[in-house]
Amino acid sequence: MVRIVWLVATAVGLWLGLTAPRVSPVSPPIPVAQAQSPPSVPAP
Amino acid sequence: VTATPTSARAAWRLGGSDALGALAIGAVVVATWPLLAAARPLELLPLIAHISGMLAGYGVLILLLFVARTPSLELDIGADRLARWHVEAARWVLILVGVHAGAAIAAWAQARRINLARSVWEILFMPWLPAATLATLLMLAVATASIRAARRRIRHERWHALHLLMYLAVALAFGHQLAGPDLVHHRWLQVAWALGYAYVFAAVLRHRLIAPLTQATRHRMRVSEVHVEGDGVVSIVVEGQDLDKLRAESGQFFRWRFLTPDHWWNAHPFSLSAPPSPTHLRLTVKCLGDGTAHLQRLPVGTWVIAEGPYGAMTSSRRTRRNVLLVAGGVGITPMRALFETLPVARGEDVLLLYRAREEADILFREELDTIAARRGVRVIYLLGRDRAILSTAALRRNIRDLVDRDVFMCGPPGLTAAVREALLKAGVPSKQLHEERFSS
Repeated sequence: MVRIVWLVATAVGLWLGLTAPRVSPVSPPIPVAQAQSPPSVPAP
Repeated sequence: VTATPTSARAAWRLGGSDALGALAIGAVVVATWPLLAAARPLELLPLIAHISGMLAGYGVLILLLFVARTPSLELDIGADRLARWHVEAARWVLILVGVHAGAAIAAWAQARRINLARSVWEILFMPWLPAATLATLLMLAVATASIRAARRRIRHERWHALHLLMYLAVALAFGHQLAGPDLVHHRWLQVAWALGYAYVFAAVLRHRLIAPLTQATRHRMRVSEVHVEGDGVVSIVVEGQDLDKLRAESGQFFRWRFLTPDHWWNAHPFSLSAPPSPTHLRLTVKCLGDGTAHLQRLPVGTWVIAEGPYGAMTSSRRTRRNVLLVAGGVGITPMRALFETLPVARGEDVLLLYRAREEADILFREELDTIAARRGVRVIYLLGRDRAILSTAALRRNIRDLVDRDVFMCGPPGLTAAVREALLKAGVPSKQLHEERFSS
C-alpha cells in the first residue's frame, strides 16, 4: 500500500512536471514604447 | 514493565536546529534562483515579485510538510514544535503571497505604462491567474478564521472544516507556480517542483488518512471501559488486537477519533496514561467545553480510530542516569506512564514532582504510590498555589544533583514555562529538558 502511494505520487509528479506550460503568461512584458511603430520622418 | 528504548533512533536524531538549517538552505537556493535564471538583470519590482513568489511556493511545501504527521519528524522534532512552526510559516507565506501579488501588479503597470487598476485587470485574465487569485482569497479566509479560532471567536470544528480549504487553495495556485517565469524555461526544475508537491501531498494522504484507516481495520479498537478519575477527568480504556505492533511507548500520544454519531469527525490528541499493552491502551482526559465533554459519557463498545503514536517525550530521550519528572494538573498522564516504565538500574534515581492545587485534584494517587513502592522510585506531591515551590532556589535545595538529571515535563503552559526558566537558571542544560506543549 505504502509503495503504491509513493509510486502514484512519482507518476503524478512526473506527469505534472513534464506536461507543464513551456511559455509563461507573465514573461517579461514588452514595454509599450517598443511595441509602437517608429515616429514618421518627414520627406526631404 | 519496562519500555524498550528506541536506541537505534537515539543514535542519530534530526534536531530542531538541523531541520531549520536544512530548510533555510533550501530557502536561500530558491530565493537565489530568479537571479541566476533571468536572461537579463531584473529591475527591482520584478525581482521582488520573482523572489517572493518562489519563496511563497517553497513555503507552502514546508507548511504541508510540517502537518503531514510523518512519524520520523513527529518523533525527532515533536508534534508541538511542528505545530508552532506551521503557524509561524503560515504567517510568512501569507506575507510573501501579498508581497508577490503587490510587486507583480506594480511591475506589470510599470512595464506597460498603465495604472495599477488596469494592471490588476490585465493580470487577472492571464492563464492560471484566476485560479491563483482564488487561492489567495481562500488563504486569506483561512487565515482570518485561524485568528478568530485562536481568540476563541469561532468554534474549533468550524475552523477545522475551513482549514481543509487550504488543500484546495494549494492545488489552485500550483498551475501558476509551474507556469511562472522562473520555472517555465527549465523542464527539470518544473519536474522537481511538481515531484516535491506530489510527495508532500502523498505524505499527508499516507499519514493522515491511509495510516489511521489501516490501523482501524488491523487493530479493531473499541472502548472497553470509562471510569471517573476525578472532577471532570475520565480514563478511557481501549481494547484492540496486536496493539504491540503500534510500537507505542510511555510518554507518547495518539490522535483519538471516537466514532459516535456526533463526534466521529473530530480527532483529539491525548497521551497514554498507562504503559501500552498488546491488548489495551489507556488515555485520561480532562473534559473541557464542547470538544471533550461528551467523552465522559462515551458508550462502551464505541469504535475508535487512533492516529499515531506521536510524541518525542519517551525514555529514548534520556541522556543521564537520574531523572526528574515534573507534572502539573492533567499533565500527569504521560508522566504517570513514564514513571512506571523508565528503566531504573541500581544506584539510579527517578523522582516525580506532581503539582496540584489541592489533595482532591491529585489523579492516580494510589497507582503512583504503588509504582513508587514496587520500583523503588519516588513521588512528591506539591500542593497549594505558591509558585515558589518550584523556584530555582527550591529545586536546587531539594534536588542536589539537579543539573545532572534529565527533566521530563508536562503541565499547563504557565507552569511548564516557569519551571523551564527555573531549571535553566539553576544550570540544567537545555538538551536535558524534554517537554511537549499542546496548549500554545
